[in-house]
Order: sequence, then structure tokens, then C-alpha cells
Amino acid sequence: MTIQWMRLVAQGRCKNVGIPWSEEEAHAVHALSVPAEYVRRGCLTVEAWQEMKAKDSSGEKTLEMMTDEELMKLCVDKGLSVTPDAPRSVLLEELNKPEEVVEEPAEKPKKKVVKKKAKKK
Amino acid sequence: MAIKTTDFLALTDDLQELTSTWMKDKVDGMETSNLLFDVKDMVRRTYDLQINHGTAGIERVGDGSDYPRANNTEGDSITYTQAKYGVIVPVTEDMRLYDLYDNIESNAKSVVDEGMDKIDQSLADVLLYGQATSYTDVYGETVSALGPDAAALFTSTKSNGATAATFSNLITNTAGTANVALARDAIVSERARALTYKDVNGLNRPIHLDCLVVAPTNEDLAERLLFSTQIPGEANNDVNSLKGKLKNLKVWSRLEERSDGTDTSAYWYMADSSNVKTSLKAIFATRPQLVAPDQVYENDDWEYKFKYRYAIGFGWAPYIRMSTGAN
Repeated sequence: MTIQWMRLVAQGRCKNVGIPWSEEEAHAVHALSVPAEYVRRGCLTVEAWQEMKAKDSSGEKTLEMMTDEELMKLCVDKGLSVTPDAPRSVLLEELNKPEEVVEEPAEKPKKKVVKKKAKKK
Repeated sequence: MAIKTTDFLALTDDLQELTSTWMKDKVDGMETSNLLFDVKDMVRRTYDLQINHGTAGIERVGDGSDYPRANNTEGDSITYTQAKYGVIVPVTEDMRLYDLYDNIESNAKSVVDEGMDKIDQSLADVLLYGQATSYTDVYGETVSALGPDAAALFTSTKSNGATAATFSNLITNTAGTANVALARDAIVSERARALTYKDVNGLNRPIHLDCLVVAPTNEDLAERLLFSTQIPGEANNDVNSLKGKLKNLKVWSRLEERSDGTDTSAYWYMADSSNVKTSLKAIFATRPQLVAPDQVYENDDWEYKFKYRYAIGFGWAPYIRMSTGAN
């Protein structure tokens, strides 16, 4: 069976594509009204949510707290080719990848060309 | 009618007749799953189930004013994919030559038995694994047990895809405890909760839980709870108000044990028998059938083919409630 994972992720009704909320997480989202983004980051109580929220507002905005549009813009700024079809989880995965440093191979030492002198007859 | 080895076609017909009669008996034995599941035929590789939560928007219309348009509230959707099952049953040349009718009949009957058993158990497993997110089915495949809301069939937080409202389809007693053992208090409490159910549009949509489904272990208790004139087990001769309200008591032998061998005899369910089929689905692309054989040239065996294709699942599920009886 196939369900609309992308829609459910966007609506905060599952943890990620293919991963449903656990019982505790579902309780935090639906009964305690903790925003899905914070539950995905591990907040299961209102206190934990408030604490993380305060920490977030004091520092730089983390990738997890950015909107889909902001993530998309960041990807474009970094030179990544992305389309609006890319799900949020994929954008996050791409942005969290460590930047690869490609080292140029060291130049090979040039062989000495020995010119043979023509023998005098 | 005696089966004669001299007549290939007659034997084929007889076996077909015999197995179809046998199959009919087996299907009759699937009374409970037929009551709960919407069993229908649809020859499509995939079946799209779109949940609609109805239309709303009736307003008072002033003189000369236009009538307002109703809004359809769309919920989640899910796609079920048909899977193919089957087996080849050989009737060997020796069986025919030496008139081993018992063997022939036994082979044909037992394979039909197995097929119908697996279909019925796979339907029961939808309920028995109702609080799981995945399980190994009767065919040994790992399958997802999630519904269109990415949640198990039975949870305390069923969401609808249109609003933030949730509902629980776990049977709870008056103290609010879920997964309680079969008891009068829990039945009364759940019936009352279902009668005050509100739909996605905020309309009061009473659900009449008029069917109790139990395993054979709980049959005696269930009968006394539902059909006694007075409240069972009490000394004050108070009237049993449940008598006549839950008209259907279904004792389903499949509920006694899950396909993985787990004892599930304490599990029990309540359903609204007129609406439960909107929740539970069994869609057949090919009904179980025994296909007439071809003669294999190399060994002169006849190979009967028993096969079927179906998909099972569930959609919007407020019409059936569950308790594991663990508490």
C-alpha cells in the first residue's frame, strides 16, 4: 500500500517519510500541541519545547527551524541543483552533508629526456 | 457420482464441482470477516481510496440571495496494490491409473482449505495487528499496518487530514483506561463515547456500536453481558440496559491466536455494523479459483492451479473500536 507521505510530513502527521510517530511523539503533537518540528528534534513535553524554542531564538536559526522556502534558497545559494519536488528531508540531508574538498593530484615529476648524441662515424 | 479414470473431462468437472462446493462451505465459514470487511471485486492493479469527510455549508438564504455552494472536505488517500497468490496441485498419473480418489480429493480439498484459511486469517490479522505499524503476514511477507493517516488502525490519536481534530478508536472504560478486559463498564462507556462522536465538519454523527466481536474464550462472558435480563454478577437485580442494544455478537475463532502464534484470546472489538465496511476493505481482482489442469507431457500428471489476487487494508476508521484486554 502507498500513502501520501510527503503530505503527511508537511502536515506534521508523521516523523518522516516512511516513519510514523511513536505513541509518545503522537501524544506530544496531538494532545500537547508541540509543533511537529520540535517533536522531530526530540521534544516530547511542553517544557522541553519551550526550552528549545528559547535556545533557538537566542542563537542562529538552525536548518531544522527553517521553512521549506528558506531551505530551498539556501540550497540555491550553495550551488546545489534542486527542484521544488525535493522533499524537506532531502533538502536537509543535502545541506547537512559535509562539503567535500577535492584535492588536486600532485604533479608527477617530469622525466628527464636524455638526448642521445649521434655517434660520429 | 463415481469418478472414472476413463474420462479426463468428467474427472476435471467432478473435481471442479467438488472443490467449488467445498469452497462455498469455507466462504460461509467466513461469516465474521464478511460482516466486517467490504469485500468487493475490482480488476485494477491498484485501488485508490480517497477519504471524503462529507460536504457542509447550509446557510439561511435571504430573499433574492444566491444559495451558497457546499464545500467538500477532503481527507487522506491511500493506494492498495493487488498481490497474486497461488499454488499448483498435481494429480499424478498413478493416482488416476490406480483410482486413488481419496488422495485426489484430499489434495484438492486441502489446498482449497489452505487458501481460504489464509485469506480469512489475513483479514483477522488486520484487526489483531491493529495497534502495530508493521507485521509479518500469513504468507511470510513483512507488510505495513499503517492507514492513510500514517498511523496504526487503532490509536488514541487518529487524525483526519482536514483539521487538527483527533479521535481515539481504543475502547476505554469510564476511568479513561484503554485496552481493558471485556467488561460491562467498558462497553457502556464506549457506546456513549461513540454516540457523541463529531465529524470533521463539527456535525454530531452518532456512531451506533451494535456489534461485539470476541474470541471463543470470551464467548460465555460476552453472552451474559449482552443478553442477560439483569446485570450479571450483581446482587441487586438491576436491569441490564445493554440487552437488545448490541444485537450482533460475533464469536470469531480467528481472534484466538494471531498468525505468528501470539495468544490474542483477550482481544475484543466493537463495531457499527452498518458503517464498518467503510473502514475495512478487501478488494479481489481474482476470487479464489481452481483452474482446470493441463496434462504435463513429461510425466502425464495433471496440474491443477489454485489462485487468487487481492488487497486488504483500511481507510477512515471510527466505526470499529478495539481493546487488547491487557489492563
